[in-house]
Amino acid sequence: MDAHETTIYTTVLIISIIVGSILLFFIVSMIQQHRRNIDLYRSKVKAEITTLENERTRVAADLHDDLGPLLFTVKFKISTVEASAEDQKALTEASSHLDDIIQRIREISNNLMPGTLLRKGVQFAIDELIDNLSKTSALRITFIHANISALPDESAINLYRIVQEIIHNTLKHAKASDLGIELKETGTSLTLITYDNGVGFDYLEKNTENSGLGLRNLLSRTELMNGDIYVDSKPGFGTRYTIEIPLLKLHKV
Amino acid sequence: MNYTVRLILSLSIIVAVIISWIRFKQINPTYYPFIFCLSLGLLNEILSYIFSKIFHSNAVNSNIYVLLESFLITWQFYTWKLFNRHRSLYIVILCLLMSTWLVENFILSKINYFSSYFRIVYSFIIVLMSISVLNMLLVRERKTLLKNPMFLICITFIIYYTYRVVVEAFWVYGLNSSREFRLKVYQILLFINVFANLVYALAVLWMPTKQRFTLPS
Repeated sequence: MDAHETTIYTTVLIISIIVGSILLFFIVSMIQQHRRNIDLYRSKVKAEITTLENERTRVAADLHDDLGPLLFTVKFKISTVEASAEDQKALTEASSHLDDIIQRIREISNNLMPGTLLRKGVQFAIDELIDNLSKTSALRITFIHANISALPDESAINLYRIVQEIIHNTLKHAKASDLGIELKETGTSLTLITYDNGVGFDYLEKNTENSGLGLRNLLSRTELMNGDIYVDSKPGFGTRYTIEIPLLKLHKV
Repeated sequence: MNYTVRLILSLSIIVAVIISWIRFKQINPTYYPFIFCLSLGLLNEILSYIFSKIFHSNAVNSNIYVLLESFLITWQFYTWKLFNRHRSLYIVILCLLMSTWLVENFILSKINYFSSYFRIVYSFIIVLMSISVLNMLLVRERKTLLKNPMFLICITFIIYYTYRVVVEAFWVYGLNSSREFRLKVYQILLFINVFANLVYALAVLWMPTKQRFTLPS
């Protein structure tokens, strides 16, 4: 290389370093901006979910604590009314309807915010949910859980809602006869695995369409706990969801 | 820089290839085009060495390699759902690559000369596709980007292929400079290639084993 070429070569080197530095700055700023976006997104989702859960708790409490006793009072009043044999029959029917209403209110209140979830923990709440479902549905659900350490209330609610959503999806779309649910702690993470023997689906094909509100909800709740959802499904081979939640971060959420 | 050093630097791809072979069955199939591309890269380096020794030129295998590489990378972007909204664009890009390659290697020049124009065109297309995927990731990804294989691969594509466009432009036009000067410029690409291969190795190491559930892009 002559002197002129050496100069050009040096210029090329300097330009390369400058372009490299600009690219590096671009990458770093992109990562920082992305982190800020994630934080903002998490705060927004957290606020939405907290508002939703608070509202559910309030409605459940109103139904259980206000409307329930009121209906009991009405039922009691009816039972003390002295009436003719014909009227008594109508009153008995009304009383029976009131029993149904009280029972339904209990169920709705429990669906909105199961008392077991906050009192005993997520495993017991899922057990209760499965017991209740087995009375009305043909889907056989098995729930296996090892000793799960106590979770923060928010995380327990999120985990419960995730299981609730998966069961709901299996009932609605999977056409499955069996659903297995496993909840286990594996060292640093909490893992929830669900698998059914339903029709399955092509994930890549389905993912190009708009996902339902339920699936978005599932994803939001998992992301809020810093977790990941993995889906393994093929048409005709059922669906398997694996949700991994890091325990260390879970207690910081 | 002597030939042996250049060969060793070029063979740095072997790290990523070995990791990809070990993890192949566990890796999510959406990353297979990139894995094939890495293995093809290693095969090309070995063939280049053999052909240079026997025929004193590795132009033919390199020209065929860049065509296959461009197809595999475009396929990779397809599996990353870049063309979800414009599926016809995928076919258009493949046709554009094929026709550029055919015109340069069989009409404008010969296959036993390095096809610089094709290299410029496909590098430019890869950079544009990488930028699009990065934009997609910024909106969609909720985890740290630094451990995301798509992010690592796209960033490396942008760095490597941007510089490659510059180098090929020097190779084509050369500013009336000597072969030694052009080779010196080309050597910078070798170091960027080593950096790229190491990042690829990291990306392969962090490729997810299962299909992560994400929202539609």
